[in-house]
Amino acid sequence: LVLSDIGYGALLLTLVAALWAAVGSGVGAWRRRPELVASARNALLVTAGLSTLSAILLLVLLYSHDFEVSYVYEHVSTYLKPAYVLAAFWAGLEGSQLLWLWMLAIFTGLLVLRRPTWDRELRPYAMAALALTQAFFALLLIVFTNPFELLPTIPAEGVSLNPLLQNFWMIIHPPIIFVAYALWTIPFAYAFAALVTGRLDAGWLHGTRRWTLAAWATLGIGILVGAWWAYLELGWGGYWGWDPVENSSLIPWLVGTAFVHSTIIQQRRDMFRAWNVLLATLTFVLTVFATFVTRSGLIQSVHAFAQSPIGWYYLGYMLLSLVVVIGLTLARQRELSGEGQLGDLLSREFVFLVTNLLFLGSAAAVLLGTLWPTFTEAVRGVATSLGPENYDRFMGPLGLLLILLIGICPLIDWREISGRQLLGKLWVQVVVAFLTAVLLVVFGVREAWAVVSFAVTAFVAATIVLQMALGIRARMRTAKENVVVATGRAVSMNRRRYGGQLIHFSILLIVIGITGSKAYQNEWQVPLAVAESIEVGGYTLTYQDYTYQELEDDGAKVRNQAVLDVYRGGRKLVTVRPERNLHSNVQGAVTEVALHSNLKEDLYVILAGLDPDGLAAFQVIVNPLVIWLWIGGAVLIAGTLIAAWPPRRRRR
Amino acid sequence: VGIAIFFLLALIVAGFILYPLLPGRAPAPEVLAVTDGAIEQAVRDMRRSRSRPGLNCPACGKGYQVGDHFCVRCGSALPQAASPGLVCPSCSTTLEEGDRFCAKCGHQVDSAEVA
Repeated sequence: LVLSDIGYGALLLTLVAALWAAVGSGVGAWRRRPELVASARNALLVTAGLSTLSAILLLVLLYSHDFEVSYVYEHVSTYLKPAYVLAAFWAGLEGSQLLWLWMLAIFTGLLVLRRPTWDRELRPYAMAALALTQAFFALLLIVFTNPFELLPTIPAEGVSLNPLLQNFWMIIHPPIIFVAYALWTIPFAYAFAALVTGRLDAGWLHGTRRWTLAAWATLGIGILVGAWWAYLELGWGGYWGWDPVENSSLIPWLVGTAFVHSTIIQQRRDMFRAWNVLLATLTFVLTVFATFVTRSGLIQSVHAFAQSPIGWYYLGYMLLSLVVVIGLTLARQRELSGEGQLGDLLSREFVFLVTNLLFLGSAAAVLLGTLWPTFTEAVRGVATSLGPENYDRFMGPLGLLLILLIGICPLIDWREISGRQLLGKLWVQVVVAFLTAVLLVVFGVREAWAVVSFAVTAFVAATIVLQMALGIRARMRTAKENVVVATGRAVSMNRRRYGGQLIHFSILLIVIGITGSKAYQNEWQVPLAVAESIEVGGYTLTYQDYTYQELEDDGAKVRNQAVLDVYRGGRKLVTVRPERNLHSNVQGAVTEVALHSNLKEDLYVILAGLDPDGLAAFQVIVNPLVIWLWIGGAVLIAGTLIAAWPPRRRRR
Repeated sequence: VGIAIFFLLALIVAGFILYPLLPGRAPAPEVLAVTDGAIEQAVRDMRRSRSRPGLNCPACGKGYQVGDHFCVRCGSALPQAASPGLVCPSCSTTLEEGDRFCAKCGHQVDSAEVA
């Protein structure tokens, strides 16, 4: 078939062009042959074009229901809604790898289109690293996971997309994650280039700062969108279950967060040079690991390695990246020793170091927990996985400690501060935290850790507000501006600082959401017949109506739903319609939850069972404060935009 | 048809990639501009040369730099005589402690003259 042949051919050419780009830019920079580097640059523009061509062809095949192509057969059907055909693109390993290659090629293309400025020396080596990564994915796509592979016969109908993935958030979640993974490749490529050229001053961090911030924020948003999907679609009332797929994207985020923070130290104090190079590399390697884990089934079983050799290739590329970077790091010890010295135990440098170690520690802990079933299966032959409570036990305290440091760190001076001075700056926050705790206890909050969590949040919020107020007051005094002008100018003159503070604030909102929903989730199992009412959690639910159908042989999907009116205090709030649908391509029913949110809590209704005569079993969950997670996500985007916005161009 | 399109595509791609390698197409060797990193390094070096060891606030002990009038930590006035005297009497270039000749004009620096 012509289209799939061209798609595969484009992948072959991508591999050749990427390999040429890697060799050309490397040799060109080494032997000072600018024409080779120019040729490599063209090759990278070519890979961007060719991978776009492959991606478009796969989309065309998916939309034209060309079931001769195995990937199309497995992921779409004639009755799948067009919007979800898009989701089918990244529903499998083949499609996701193509998506990653495509995004990486696009970003690389954008990078080389811009004239080199600060990175004149570094760019060819960064191009080589990016090209090699592209070649790696192209090779995997060609040899093991060809999305254009044909079936021997042409089936009349496709298997269709897993109904759990038929959700708006599943259309956008994977692309966000893969954009983030592709973006993380760029800091890694420059870390490699800095090592090769020996230009290990803060230049590469400064130059890649926006890429790094974009990668970091995109990954965070991707994780939140994934959580939102799980909350809406999986129907167990939670948004995070510490399952391997979720963990695998959280691990690079944790290491990436450590990186984002330690870059500040190198830029301000010229410390942690080697540390930054390693963190950038580790984050990249972990994104590769995450893709592999998510799609290969390694965590479910070590036998995934036996089933397909692709696992060894992933492992090989991860090891290759690590070994090369560590080897270069050892060879560059002289250039890697910065001038800054770690000062006093009570200094901002030291607190940053502690923060870094905590992030890495939590990443290592989550990684260990994720791989635990694999270890136990390899050693004892039986896979035992860790439940969410195991993760909560160590990630809860670690997380709170990190949050607390957000509130303390800005008050500690660089180099040193005396304990007495620090206390002088801290007492307001301590009072605020203490009052918060007392008020919560007075109003009936009894869970100790929830009180602690909210008190810590109040402490940090007080620091952020006080710092902001100090900056604004200083402007009002010295520049004689009113509050509004002073606020606007303070933020626009110091975007990095205030953008960062806003991001910290968004993390607080997320902590509030997590604490509220963890501590006060309430759940009721409610059997109802039509026209019956029940009161749960302050709401009155009246079961009004239902539709019930059996699945027919050739039917795509049968929608079974119950209709409930929700009242609160005698006033009707909303009508909700939880569903329990049957799909021809999966066993059993798939629930679609009904959700009613406000700032205080979510009412979450699951249709757990429905009889032909209308007798229904509902699972009603009241989840306090969950909406703050998503509001936090929006604030995080705003903060990142402020922090990364290019400064106004100065006149020459 | 597929194979024909593939070879056509391959040909275009190869042409585009190899075009810069044609004789006469080589870009002019790039002049290495001063990088941000180099500028930052120079600024750091200048800063370091301004802050000499032994310049500490007499009230609280915090280090300060040549030209500072007040301590950044405790606010007390800093002794002024120690710093701005070290200039060449002939051409006003800043001198390092212990210099016997001005690095710029070669004027012999008499320690009494500078103090």
